[in-house]
Amino acid sequence: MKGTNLGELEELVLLMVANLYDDAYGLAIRNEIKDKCNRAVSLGTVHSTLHRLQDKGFVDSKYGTKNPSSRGGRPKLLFKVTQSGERALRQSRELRNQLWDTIPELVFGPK
Amino acid sequence: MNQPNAPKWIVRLVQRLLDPSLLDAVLGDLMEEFDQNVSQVGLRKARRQFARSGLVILFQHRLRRKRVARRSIWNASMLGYHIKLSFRQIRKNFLFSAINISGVGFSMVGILLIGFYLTRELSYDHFFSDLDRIYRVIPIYHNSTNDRPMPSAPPALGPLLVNAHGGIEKSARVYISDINNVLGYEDRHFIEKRIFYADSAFLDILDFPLIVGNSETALNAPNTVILSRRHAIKYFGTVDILGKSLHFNEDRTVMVTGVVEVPENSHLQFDVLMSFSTYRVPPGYTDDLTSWRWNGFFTYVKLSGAEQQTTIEQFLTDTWMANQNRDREVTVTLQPVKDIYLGSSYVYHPYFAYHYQTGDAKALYGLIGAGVLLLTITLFNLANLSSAQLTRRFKNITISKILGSSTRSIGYQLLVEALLISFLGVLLAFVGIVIFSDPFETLIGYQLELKGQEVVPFIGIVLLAIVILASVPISVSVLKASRHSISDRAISVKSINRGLSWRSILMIFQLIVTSVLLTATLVMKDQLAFISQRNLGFEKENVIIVEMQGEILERHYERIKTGLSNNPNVTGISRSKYALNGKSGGSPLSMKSWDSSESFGVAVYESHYDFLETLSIEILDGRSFSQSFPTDSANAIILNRTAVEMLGLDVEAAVGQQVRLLDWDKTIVGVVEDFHIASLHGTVRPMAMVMPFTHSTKLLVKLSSGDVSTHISSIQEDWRALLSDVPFDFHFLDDSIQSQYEMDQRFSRLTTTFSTIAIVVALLGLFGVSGFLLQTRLKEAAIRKVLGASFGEIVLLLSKSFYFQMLLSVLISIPVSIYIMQHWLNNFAYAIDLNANSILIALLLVTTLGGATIFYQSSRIAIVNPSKNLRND
Repeated sequence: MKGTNLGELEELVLLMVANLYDDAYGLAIRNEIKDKCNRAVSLGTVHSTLHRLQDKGFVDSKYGTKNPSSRGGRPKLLFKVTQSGERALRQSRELRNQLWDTIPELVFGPK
Repeated sequence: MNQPNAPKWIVRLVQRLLDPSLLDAVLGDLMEEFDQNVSQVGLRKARRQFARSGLVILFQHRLRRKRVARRSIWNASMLGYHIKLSFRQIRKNFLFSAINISGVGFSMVGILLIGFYLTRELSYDHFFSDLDRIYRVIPIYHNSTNDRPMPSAPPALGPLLVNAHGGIEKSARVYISDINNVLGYEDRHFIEKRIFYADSAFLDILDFPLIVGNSETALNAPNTVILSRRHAIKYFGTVDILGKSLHFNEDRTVMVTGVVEVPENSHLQFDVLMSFSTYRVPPGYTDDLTSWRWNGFFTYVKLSGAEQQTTIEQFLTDTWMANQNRDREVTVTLQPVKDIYLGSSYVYHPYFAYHYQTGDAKALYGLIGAGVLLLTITLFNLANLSSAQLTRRFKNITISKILGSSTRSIGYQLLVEALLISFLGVLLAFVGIVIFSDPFETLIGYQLELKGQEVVPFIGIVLLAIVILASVPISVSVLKASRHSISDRAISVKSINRGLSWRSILMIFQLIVTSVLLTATLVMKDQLAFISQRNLGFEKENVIIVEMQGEILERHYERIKTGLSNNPNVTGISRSKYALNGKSGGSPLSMKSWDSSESFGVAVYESHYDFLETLSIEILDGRSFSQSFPTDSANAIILNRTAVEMLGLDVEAAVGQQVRLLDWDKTIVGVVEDFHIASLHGTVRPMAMVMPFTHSTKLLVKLSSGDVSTHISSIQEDWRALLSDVPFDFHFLDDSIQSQYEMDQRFSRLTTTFSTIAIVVALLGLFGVSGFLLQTRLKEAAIRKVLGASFGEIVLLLSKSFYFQMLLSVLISIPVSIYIMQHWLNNFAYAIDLNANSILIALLLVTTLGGATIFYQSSRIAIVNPSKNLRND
């Protein structure tokens, strides 16, 4: 397993899992990314990223209990952010904020 | 419940390749997306999107099913084990393996030979360094009826091209002398027939490699000469001969400025290369080197770039039309030197048949076709044999599976076996070619030497061949194995006699190809025999031709004639400039009354008194040249029947008519029956005979019948008494006529070899396949025998389906061979009619050999004691 850093897409997917809370599965995440970020990612990429996040321990998954009549009768694989996933998200946000705060005013001009 | 409208193959692929724990999640997502898409963008787009998403998912390797023992097969010890097992398998089924290996070997011999031949034919002229921008000038003469492209140009054109246009870097004329010249050093004097005269830029354009000498200056001065390596050795015994002098004809001396290597695969083949300024127009010629009419000078140009071609063609046409001092419509084109060898049929002109070499592109296509067929036969054979073989091994395979081998490992075992067999076959072919290289070289007419970069494509071809050959048994095994479950395999081979169809189709195809090849061989042999026996319109037997230098022959002709006439073995003597092997002069001929622009080309033969008599050419009307008519040497002309008809005259009314040959007025004194001055590929063309106005170089001597060698030695004695210092350089007329068919004969030899190989391969295949198929009926035969069937009944029962297939293929092959051979025969102006004989013989041969093979196999089974085959059950 590569380190526990969050890649850009990984972070995005992780945030979406958190946002969707109890209905976070592959296609929903894909659609959410499309709607909110206007960014087309393929289903394969989403699943692959989720798989990677699971390997790193940032998400946990289990199959949904009710068998829907759509989806060819196949259950959803629902994802949930783990504690270490939450920690990773917070860390990355803090790091960002810190870095934003220390940008000299000269660079972007006064706020 | 799957979504019914989604593409099933994607679903199946995903099910097969995806990590099973993710399967529901992913497939569910795909289906849900599909449903969304159906309502949003329609079914078609949704299906496409489904496939796209599915494939993208499969490209994510972390989502795929994990393979566990993936690499262990290919480690070294396992490979060693596979090879060992393969050798055991080969030894166990020795007959089967031997058939397979020798089948592969035979056909590889054929394919390699074709490969060598093709490489050689395609390599012509590729050693020139600026190949992409050197061209030969091809003027196209237009007249009212046709356009005549010529490979050469008038001598006046060449000098006009030097520094005339920025696009032309270099230009050079080459003149190929068709008179006999004598070169001599000390006491070694020889008649040289392949002397080329070339402008100084010649070696800059066509850069034949010089062994010694400076290619830039070697041809600058008059009286300089470059010898080929062979001729340097012939005269001096060494190539270190710069600055040495040679006698040239009777009164001249030339200095050696270089020794050149003339590769065999060059369209120009010369022994001696002299500077153009050395050339002197022989006495009697009507034109000099400023002529626009004398078309006999090959003109080569090197352009600054290939893109200049059209510009320069236009420039050349303009230059020609502006400078020519006659009224003739001409378009000048450029032919890339790399196309000369195989692409010159459109400029083929009999006058130049011997001046540069040409190959036959059609024959090459034929050969490639034969090679492909041979390869197909071999592949079919392998497929047939290995599928028959595989059924035998099902038990073996099943047991190893039960003992824990993976399918993969069994697959590798089969792969190694197949590779080994095709490798051994190819190795066999190579060893065969190396051992029998001499007969093979005569067969293809070239040396089989491969060096430098030529080897690379060959290694590639061979490796490719091994892989292709091996892939057949592999795919057969995979196909077969996938259709049988383990229990099927363990039980028996019962399935083999059901759906025989595809195996029969392969066999039928093979037999068709074999019959066609065999028929082709026989027809070709017939045609070539027909040609060599055809009446050419003159008697070619017992005539010898003595090659002499023109001046000497002219000076001594009367003495020779009187001297040799006393010899009782000599029945006729004449002299001529050409000797009936394709070469001739050419000029326009017309009735004197015709308009000056009307004329047609005729072959011109300069021949002396008694020419017609010596060769027994039939005179239809009038007479031959005669000493009693002194004006004959200036005014008389003898025409052949074709020429007379083209003049619009009756044969009976032609004598006495006035005609114009080039610029001369002539009177027809005789009409002769058509006779062949060139090969039978072409029809008889109009020809005119006149008394020699230039040096003639060939002395024709007709011998009386009887022992030729004693006749010749007696003539040789007379010769020595008459002309002690002139070499008696002679050959037989029929030999030189026959030499025109060398290419055809080579081609026929190649076809014979290929059809032999094809027959052997096909029979090997038939032997193997029928053997294996019949093995499966051992018990059936035994039981029938116990129940009272006779030997004959069993043989018939076992073999009738084979005979039926053989009959079918023979029947199909008949129209195919007729079609193909009719096409080939169209190349000849005088061809045999396709008769039933050769086809019948070929088919009989195929059926007899095939029938014998099958009879042998089936009788072997029928004859055996039934208890031997039944006691094990």
